[in-house]
Amino acid sequence: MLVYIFFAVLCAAVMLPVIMMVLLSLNDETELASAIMPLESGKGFCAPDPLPFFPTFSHYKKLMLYTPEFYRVFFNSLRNTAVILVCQVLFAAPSAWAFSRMKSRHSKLLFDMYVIFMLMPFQVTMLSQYLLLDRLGLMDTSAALILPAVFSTFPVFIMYRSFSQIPEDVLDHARIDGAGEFTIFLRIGLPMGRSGMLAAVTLGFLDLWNMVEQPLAFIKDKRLLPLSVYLPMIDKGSEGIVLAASVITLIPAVFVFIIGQDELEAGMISSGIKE
Amino acid sequence: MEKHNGMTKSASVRWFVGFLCVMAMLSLISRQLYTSKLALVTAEDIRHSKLSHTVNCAGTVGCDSVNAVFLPEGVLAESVYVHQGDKVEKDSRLLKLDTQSLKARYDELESERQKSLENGDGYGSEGASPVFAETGLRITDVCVKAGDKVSAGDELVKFDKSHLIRLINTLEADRNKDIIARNALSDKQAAAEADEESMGESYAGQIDTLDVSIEEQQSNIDRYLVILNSGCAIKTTMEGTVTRVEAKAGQVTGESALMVISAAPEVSNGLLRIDEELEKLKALIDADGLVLSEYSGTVSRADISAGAVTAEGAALFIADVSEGGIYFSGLADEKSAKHLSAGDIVELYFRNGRLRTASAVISNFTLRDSDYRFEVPLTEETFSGEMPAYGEIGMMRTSALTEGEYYLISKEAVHGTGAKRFVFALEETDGFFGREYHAVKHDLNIEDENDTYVAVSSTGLAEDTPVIITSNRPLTDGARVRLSVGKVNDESEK
Repeated sequence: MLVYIFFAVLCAAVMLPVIMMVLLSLNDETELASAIMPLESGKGFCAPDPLPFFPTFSHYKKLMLYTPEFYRVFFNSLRNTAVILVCQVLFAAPSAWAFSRMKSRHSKLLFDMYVIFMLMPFQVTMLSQYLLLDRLGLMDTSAALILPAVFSTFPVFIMYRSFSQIPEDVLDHARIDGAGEFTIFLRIGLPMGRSGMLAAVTLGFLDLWNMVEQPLAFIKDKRLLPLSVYLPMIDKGSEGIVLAASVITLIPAVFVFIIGQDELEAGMISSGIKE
Repeated sequence: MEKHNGMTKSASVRWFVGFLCVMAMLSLISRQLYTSKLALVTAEDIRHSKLSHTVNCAGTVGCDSVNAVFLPEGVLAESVYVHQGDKVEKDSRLLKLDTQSLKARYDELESERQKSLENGDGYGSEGASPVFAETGLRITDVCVKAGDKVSAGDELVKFDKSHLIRLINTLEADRNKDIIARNALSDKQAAAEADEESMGESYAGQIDTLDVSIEEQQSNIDRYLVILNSGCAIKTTMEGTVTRVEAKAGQVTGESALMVISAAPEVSNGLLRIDEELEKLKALIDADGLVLSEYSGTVSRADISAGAVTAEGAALFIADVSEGGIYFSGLADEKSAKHLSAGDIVELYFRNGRLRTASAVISNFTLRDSDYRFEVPLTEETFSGEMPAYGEIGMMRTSALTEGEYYLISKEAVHGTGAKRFVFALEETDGFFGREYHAVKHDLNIEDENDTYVAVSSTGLAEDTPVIITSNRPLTDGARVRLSVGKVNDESEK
């Protein structure tokens, strides 16, 4: 019982910012200004009312109807994320299959290097990426965001685990039946490793949807900026629009999570199972 | 559970796709709504050059030598043979006056002249000699009138003879009585002296008084007898002109003068004027009413038409352009005068541009009262052919450039009035949809301007920064705008 209470409190604490964000986005400008004023002045604490006295959808109306650049950056984010995820699956799946099924003398070393690269924060590789992209003439283009992410090692790591759980016997039977390695990968590996791929896609979406450092470093053209960078650029005095935009930004991630929840859980579970 | 999860998952997918479709639709709608609120503007670059001032001044063609043709007042014009702009030669026909009207006017003036003389207004009074006559005489006839010239011995006034004789007889009878009375007193005086009485002295006084009276009466009788013997008339002893006549027939003479004669009479201005006009009328009547031109030239103005009655003032003006001296002149206000000076080459336009020249030069440019008068000589070389007529109205046009160069901004782009004028510069930035434009307000310090541009020394803007010329909505500083290629209508003025 206590455990439930503890986790309930923890859950509430985690959910509180999101709930406040939604509620504050329904405040009118006067209420919002008075709620946020301590934050701007630096004196005291913000103590917004749990429910707005004068709820309004005016911020949503202004955002949805009179802020066309919001849609621009929204679809920039969606496009970048979709392209990256598709390409990641295209490149990461064969890589993960190779790592899991085609053992060689240096495959473990290579895989360990993959893990090391995966653990490196962006700031470590940012400069080398910047120089490379500049030399390739890809600075200030969408390719500067897409290409480095396409070859990310994280999906390989996730898919590797799910591919590793496919029994070898199934593959042997397929080989006996005359299937080639590519056919085995395509007809057996991908379907059976679907949960891993969806988990990778789900986690990848959540990561890529909120990508901030790369656009800040590699993109100057406002036409290519994603949603995550646009939100901080909204003028001071438009806090209501920021909150409404944040709520809208949250929606695709919620949908993707709902869609990929099962696979994500399965992937996490399978990664914890020791062979 | 799996089926439930599958339904939840497929519903989530559908909802997500639906969400994306709604976002796509709203993206179009929001763009339309947002851009419909943006001001649509046109812009123009700022130029850096000298400012041109175009000066337009109206004027007329004038001439140094203009002769007026005067006509007698109050006469009917039967025909007019010339009009404004016609060229005439000396002795050519100008117009014909009605002879009946001329004669009527002549008679009218003549009687006016006579009246003036009779009233004594025709001559001055200096150097005039009055003519007196004995009192008590009845005038039968006044032989002269004002204005008549007389010589010594001319009869001036005639008197009634019988009345004169009666008067003389009366005076003689009175004289005789006095004589008788005197004689009687004289006898008494002698007797008193003989008797040595004191009454003798008193008789002497009375006798003296009677003597004086008798002498006076005799003198009067003598004077009357002179008049009687001279034909009962007064004759002038001097040569001169009768300037005023006071005597009238039937009147009895008194102590006042009968008339005034002046040896060198001073004719009054009124009489002179009448005499001159009478002379002209006489000449016109003799010419059967035909008026001929005394000058060669161009009829610059004709204030008379057939059937009209002549009025005071000149009826025609003839400009003599035979020896040059024709020019185009007018007045320029202070604003235009800043850009004009003698020696400037100007364009002249007449007859809505059908007659023009681009090589005229201002010869004279002077300040008159608060306006500036300019003169542009006109020659045949100036127009190479047909010249404008005297009195014709035209337009002078010239352009002058400022000495220094300025930043020139179209006046359509300038807002505000007086010293607080400003423009909206079109600043370009990179936005979420590519190139974005914003209207940024800049104050101006205007140094000069013409009808089209204002000139400033510095704008605070980059030279290639355009300024907003037209907008279909009111602009505010920093407002985002849309750039149009063509001119937009300002809906805010509707």
